[in-house]
This record gives sequence, structure tokens and C-alpha cells, in this order.
Amino acid sequence: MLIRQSKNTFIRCTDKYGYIINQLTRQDRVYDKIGATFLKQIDRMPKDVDSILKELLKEFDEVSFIELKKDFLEFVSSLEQSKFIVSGDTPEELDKKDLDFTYNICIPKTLNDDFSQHTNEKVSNNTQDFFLEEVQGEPKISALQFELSSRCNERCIHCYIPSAKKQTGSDMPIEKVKSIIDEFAEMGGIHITLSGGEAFLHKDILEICKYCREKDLKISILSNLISLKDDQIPILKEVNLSIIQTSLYSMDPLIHDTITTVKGSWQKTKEAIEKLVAADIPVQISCPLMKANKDGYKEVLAYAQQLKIKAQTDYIMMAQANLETGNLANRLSLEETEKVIRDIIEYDLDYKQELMLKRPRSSEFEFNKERFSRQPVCGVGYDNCCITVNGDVYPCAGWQDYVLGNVYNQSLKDIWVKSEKIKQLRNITQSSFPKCLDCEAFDYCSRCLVRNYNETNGNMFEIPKHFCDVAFLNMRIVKEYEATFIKTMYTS
Amino acid sequence: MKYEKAKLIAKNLPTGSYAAGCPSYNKGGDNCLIQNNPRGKGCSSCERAK
Repeated sequence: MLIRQSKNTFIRCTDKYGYIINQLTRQDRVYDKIGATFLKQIDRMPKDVDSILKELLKEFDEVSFIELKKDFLEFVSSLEQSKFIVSGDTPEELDKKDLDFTYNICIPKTLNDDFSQHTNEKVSNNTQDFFLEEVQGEPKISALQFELSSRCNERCIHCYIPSAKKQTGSDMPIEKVKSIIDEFAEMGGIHITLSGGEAFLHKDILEICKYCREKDLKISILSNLISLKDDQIPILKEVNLSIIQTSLYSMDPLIHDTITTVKGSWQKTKEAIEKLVAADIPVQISCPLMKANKDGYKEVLAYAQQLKIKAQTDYIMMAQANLETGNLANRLSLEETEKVIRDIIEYDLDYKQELMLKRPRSSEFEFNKERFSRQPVCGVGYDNCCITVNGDVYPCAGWQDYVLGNVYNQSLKDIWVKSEKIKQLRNITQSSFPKCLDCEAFDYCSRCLVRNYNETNGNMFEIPKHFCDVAFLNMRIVKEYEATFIKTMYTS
Repeated sequence: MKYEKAKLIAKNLPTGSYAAGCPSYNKGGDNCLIQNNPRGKGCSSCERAK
């Protein structure tokens, strides 16, 4: 029997554990040291199980071939059940079994919002908690957002990157990009997000994508798509992108173009989205909400639904990375936010169902507030960071003002391990926000260091009033809705 | 190495895996899709069982 990992999975092993993820199903698993030894034997080329077992026998003491074979086949079968690997008698059979992303099915994988993973084995931990806690002493980088070009061909009115930076922008030379990718891969990184500015303004973007694949990295791209060329699409398909995320602000070209300040941008973005969908490349639409498009976003969601694309909105908005808050003039007021939230409850059927059923998200994992309070606020400093064109390394998208180091002066690894600023970030836990932990609206709020920082002239611990107001607003509306629902249930 | 049967020690929550890349595909920032959900949850806590 032959086995190989799916083209959509990525495997990383250390001396202590083995990790496998599938970019299509978005499921993942962590195995112990023995599991890691098994995983190390599985790669992108088909391998014969008996030859793998011969290799494994050299690794272990006091185990018979029969016992090892039984356990390994059970291991393989469990992985295959969840599409992490494929098995068969011939390489052709493996290719046939391996899934390609496609929109040509009722529910493309990108629309899936239930990531339940059945396993016969009992598991008491989830991968996020495992990584946050297991690596707290020695965080391991997993994701890197890479600004390939600081140039941009749009000047969106709400953007957190100051326009001045885009006007004097440049591209990072490909040799430097490749050397950083090399280093990231050596550090065990998995996910790379290519962004800007505008990522497609970098003349070597396709070569960079191919290089990421050579280094076995999972690729996402953030782009407005207006400079995407037809002949680039087959190559984007070939590199098996995880996702291309783009912003579409309205189905009214005038509104979209007013937000991007580029005439004709709506037409170009929309056409590019449709070409990517036709090529079965996973696309996601972001529709950040602001005053200019607060009335037309539902048409964007309907358009996305028609194309079977995942689309989401965001009604919060972040201040600029240079700590200026001028862009927030476009932010929705509380009254406007309330209307949007009510719309979401009314029109988002999945969310409505979740509210009505009030089902626990999982019966396997319990939420433990005490444990939660010891955990980091997010993955900042723990599993991801970003790099600008000039080599500055910063903790998270939008936090360009908080420079951890520069890859032209130091290695990425040195910055990740030694930066004093990153060490400070790693000391921040949920308990750093004691008022939030005991807040009535805790479940309705999202704590975000960079949003705090950019809006409060650089204080990541100070939560702007707007965020608390929105949390309380959320709570009030949800409780009101639940009460109405219960009343309706009793009267009917 | 002493042999024992391989153990699965963690897997993603039904709500997705932040470790496998944020289920919303983008972490934080203006495009953080978690914000779409009125029941907040926030970056990283998005996949927590409640």
C-alpha cells in the first residue's frame, strides 16, 4: 500500500510533538513524540507502507514488526478518514483520491463553518491551547504576513496604512524576500500571507508564490486584485493557494470607487473575483463597513452568496498605524452599528440558528476561565509576526509602529527570540485586562492590542470607549433577541 | 527510542483552529471577520468553546 500526505496538508515535527494541518478542511492535529516519528515518514511523494515500517523499526526498541504495523495502519487510517493523507495501490489512485478545491459543488470548503473532527481517540486538549501553553517558554513562529510592496494602487479612505507611505513606496528585492522565506521555513513556519501595499504590484509575486511552495509553505494573498493579469491565474491555481482575500465595499461602483478613491476599481476587482472563482481558486471577500457603504453591504453579501464565496463584514475599524485617527471619521456611529448588528441577527441564518438553539459549541472541550486568564490575548508574539518592505518586523497587521527589529540588521530568528519588545508582549495575558475578565459584556467583546494601541496614542492596555460601547451594545441586542425568541416559543 | 502507541494529544475545536491559521484567514486588523459576530469572542478566543 502506498501513502502520501494530501496536497492540502502541511506537517511540522519537533522533538516533542508532530503537527499536521489541512488548508482545505482547516482541521489540525497534534501527536506526541511517537506520532511525530510516524508523521516524519509521511511526505508529498508516495511511499510504500512496508518500507516506512522498516525505517520505523530502526527508530524503536522492543517492538515487533506486526505490532508496529498494526499501530501504524491504525494511525494512517485515522489520518485518512479526515483527509490529511491519501492511500492506495498506485500513485494515480492517490491523485484521484486527493481533493482539489472547487466551487463546482453545493458547499465549497471555504463556506464550511463547522470544523468538527471525529476521532476514535479521546482528546482532551485543543490545538490552540496546546500551542499557547506548550510553547509559552519558547514560542514557535507559525505565521508570517509579508509586505512585498509598500506601493498601492488604491488609497482607501479607511486604511490603517497612512497614504504617504504608499506614495513613496517600494518593493522588497526578491533575493531578500527569498532569504527571509528560507529563514521562516527553517524556523518551522507554516502560513505565509503575501500582502502590501498591493501584493500584485511586486513584479516577482508569482516567483515568490512558487518559492513558498518549494519551501512547503501554505500561501494566502491579500490584494485588491485590480492589477491581477489573466496569465497569472493558472499559476495561482498551480501553487494551490489557501485563499486570496480581497475587499469589495459595495455593489454600487460609485460607492466602492469613492472608498478606494480609484475610478474603475470596482469593475476590475469584481471581474478578477469572477475569474478566480471560474479557475476554482478560493477567494474571500471582506466588506469593512463605514459610513460610505453602510447601506449597501447586504448586496455585497448576496453577490458573494451567489458566487458561493465566503464574505464577511467588519464594523469596528482600526486607527492608523502612525497613531493618527483621522480615518476613524469614516467609522460607523453606535446608532449605525446597532442597525448593522440587528441586520446580522436578522439575515445571518447560521448565526440566528446558533442563537436560537443556544447549543454549546463543543461538548468535548470545556471553557475554563481560570485557565483562560493565564493565556495570551492573541497569537501576537506567540505564533505570528509581520515584515514591512524596509525590513521592519512588527507584531501584527496594522501595528507597523511597534517595531521589534529589522531583518536587514538581524536575523528573523534573532528578532523572534531576543527582541525585548516581543518578550514584553509575551508577558501579556488575559489577566492583563482584569476589568474585562469580570465584565458583564465579556462574552460580547474582542480584546485587541493593536486596535487599542493605534487609537490611544500607543497604549495597548487602554481600551477605547467605542470598543466597550460596542460590546455592551452587542450584549443588549443579543439578550433582547433571545428574550423575544423565548417569549415567542412560549406563546406559540 | 522506547516504543509506545502514538497518542493524539490535541485537535482543533469544532469552531476551527486558530493554530492552523485563523479560521477567518486573517488575524486581527480591519479585516478580522470575527467582528462580524455580535457575540464578540475576539481574536484567538474565537475558537474557544463556551
